[in-house]
Amino acid sequence: MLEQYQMSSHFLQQVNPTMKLVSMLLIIFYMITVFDPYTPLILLVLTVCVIRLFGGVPLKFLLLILLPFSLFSISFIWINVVFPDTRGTTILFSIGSMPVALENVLIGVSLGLRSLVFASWSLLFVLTTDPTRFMLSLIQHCKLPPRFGYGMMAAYRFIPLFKQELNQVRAAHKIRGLGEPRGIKERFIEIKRYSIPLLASAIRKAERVAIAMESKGFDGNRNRTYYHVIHWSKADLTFGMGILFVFASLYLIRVNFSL
Amino acid sequence: MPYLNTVDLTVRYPFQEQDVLKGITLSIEKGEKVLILGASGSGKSSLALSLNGIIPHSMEAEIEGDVYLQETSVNQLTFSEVCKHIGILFQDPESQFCMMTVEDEIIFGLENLRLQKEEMDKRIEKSLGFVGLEKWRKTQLKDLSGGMKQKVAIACLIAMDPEVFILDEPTANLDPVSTEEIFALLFSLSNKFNKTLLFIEHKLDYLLPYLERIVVLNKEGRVKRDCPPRELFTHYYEELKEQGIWIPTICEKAKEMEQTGVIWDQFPLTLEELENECTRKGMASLTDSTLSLPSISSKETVADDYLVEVKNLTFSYKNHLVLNDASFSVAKGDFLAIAGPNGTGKSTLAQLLIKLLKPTQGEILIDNKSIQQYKTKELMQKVGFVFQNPEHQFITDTVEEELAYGLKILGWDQQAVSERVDQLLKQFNLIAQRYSNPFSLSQGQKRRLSVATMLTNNQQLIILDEPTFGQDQVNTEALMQLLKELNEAGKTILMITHDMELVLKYAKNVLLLNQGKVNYQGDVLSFFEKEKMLEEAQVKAPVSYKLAALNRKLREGILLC
Repeated sequence: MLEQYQMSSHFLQQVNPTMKLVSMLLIIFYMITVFDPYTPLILLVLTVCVIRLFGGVPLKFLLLILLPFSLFSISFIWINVVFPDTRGTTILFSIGSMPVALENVLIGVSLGLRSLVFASWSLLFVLTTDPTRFMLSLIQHCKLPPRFGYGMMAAYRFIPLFKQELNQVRAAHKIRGLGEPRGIKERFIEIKRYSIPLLASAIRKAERVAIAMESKGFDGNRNRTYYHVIHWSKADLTFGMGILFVFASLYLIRVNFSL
Repeated sequence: MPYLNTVDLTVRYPFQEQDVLKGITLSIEKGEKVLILGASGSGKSSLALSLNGIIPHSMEAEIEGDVYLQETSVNQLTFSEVCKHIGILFQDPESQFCMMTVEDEIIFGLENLRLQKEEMDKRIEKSLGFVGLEKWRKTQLKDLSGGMKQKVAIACLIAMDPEVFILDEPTANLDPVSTEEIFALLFSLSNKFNKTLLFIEHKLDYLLPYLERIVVLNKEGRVKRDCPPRELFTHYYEELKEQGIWIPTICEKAKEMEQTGVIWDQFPLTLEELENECTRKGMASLTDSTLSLPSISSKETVADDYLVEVKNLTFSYKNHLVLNDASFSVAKGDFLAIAGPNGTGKSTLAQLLIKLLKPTQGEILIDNKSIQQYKTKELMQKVGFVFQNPEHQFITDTVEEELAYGLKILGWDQQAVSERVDQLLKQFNLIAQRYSNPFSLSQGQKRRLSVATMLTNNQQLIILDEPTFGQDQVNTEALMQLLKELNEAGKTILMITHDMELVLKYAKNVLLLNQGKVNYQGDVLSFFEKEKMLEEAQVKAPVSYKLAALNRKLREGILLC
């Protein structure tokens, strides 16, 4: 389902996956130092626009994925209003006997938006990166041993297969008269019931794949050639400059408006 | 100098009492086409993995003796060196790939060989051209059918250009049409480039004429016979039967005829050879006695009392019309086989019948009542459903609990439950496994248990979705015998299958589904007469049916004279 975005030929898809990964980590570290609500808001809007314009992902699809994350971030506002460290002095209004202070709302909004920034950058990475290129880039630029890189690819391939298998197990159990679980205990038992057949088949598949890979001459060491070499290109330079530009502008804005 | 040879090879897995392979000494020349034959558990796959050093390099095992490639011991070579000599094609198309696209999968092997990009490009084009998948180069592997995946797997091997191809039941999970395509591809590979083919296979009917040599492994893991196929089936027929090895249909009939006094100039291995021999001898028929088809009259016609009625059933999935206005009825006591090419909605139909899916249009009646009016629990008491993978159905920790489970849901008392469980254990030959975990059973036992769990409360209708898929001959035979007994005891059976030999032998009626429509419903013999319809639906009449046709031809020939 995601391949149509991951494989398309927009700008972001051509940026080296390692580059994207590093900038994602930079953004996350940067966000940890920020406590006002405006910086994350600017960054969030910017990121969504970038994914839309330079990654070719439809806005509707993007917002739909962000929806569950926004529920999560709204809960931050709620928590900060109801259980603040220190209650602010600027009381906006009261819910029942509980005063709602502007300071607490702002901290909540800031934390909530921060988590949305994390989510949007993860999406930028996931939606515009071909997993194969990502793996190759990790091996070629980050010294990841091929043993793990190709192992991860093999595991990644199985994800849709497991989804299919889970559906089959579910149907098979339904036939045997097992309905929807009621309560936490039943849900727990259900997870156990589903996981045994899935685990059994996972172990079997893993063993088979390992044997198949080795019989194609894979020995896991670095001494191999590469058909696809993940190059550093102009796209990476542009992307890097873009990131620097964003950081610089944020710095100026924050100084000027003393956020 | 043989290309590949083993000297006194003995293999034992850790914690096992017995060797899987014992003193195997074999030598294989370049270009030979050899079949390794043996019952389940005779160590055929272990032999394959020992030949390329996976055993003991990555699968732990105690090993004695040695395997030589030309003059080098396999143990002194790395995997990437071995795979220039030996390539293995495995059974399961899902679990022999590690990359996302066709191209990347081929590249993976070539990178292991440390080739340069230009050389890789040449080899990718050549290998995809050979299997006829040039246009699919950039396609995701998950979007391909099982048959096409196996072709990609072959292309991967061709690109690596090994001398010996080991084929470990590569068609066990494929339908008949794909099976023939894969075999044809392999033989053209062998003929064109003089490659050595080493088969491990159960489906012998098609393979036999092309083979030069058969190696038989017995249950102790020793080489029992090593000779050309004709010699093997002429002289060691009884011995093979004793080992539980499946005998090709033609050879079985030929042997039967031998017992009625026919003396062959040349023991026939194929239908053509049999026909030639018979015509030469001027035989009036294949035999006068037992050899014949199950005639229509011997399969008692079923009553027109309907258990299942399907009316104008339409089902679409994501804008794709799977079933298109299908109508049919199943009489009580019928044994109905549902046949048709891959992807024509056979499994969908089965799942609609038990309410796992909801029809877009149309109605299904079971016992004159629409299934929408049944509660799941009520429907469960009427219909049993056996899934392709038996493991998916298991929900408890012992065989006994597994059988008791359905009864307990229905609120039976302790006494009645244990009586019924005992009865089922006996009927399905699972008494010794009573306290075993269902997951620890053998393939055949798992299959039997999965059928048994569906009969706990005397369901009248049993639906089976390709129950013999990936099962060996002995298990298949045992399961079919069981179904036949159940059918004789009055159960109605509805079975989806690709195996036309089973249809001919066991089913009373056939339903042919093609492109979402019911193309045929009626008795088995008339079904196989409709050659044009079968061809369109990619169904092949089984060898036994062709034999019967030959029989008829011979008789008519005599009448004309």
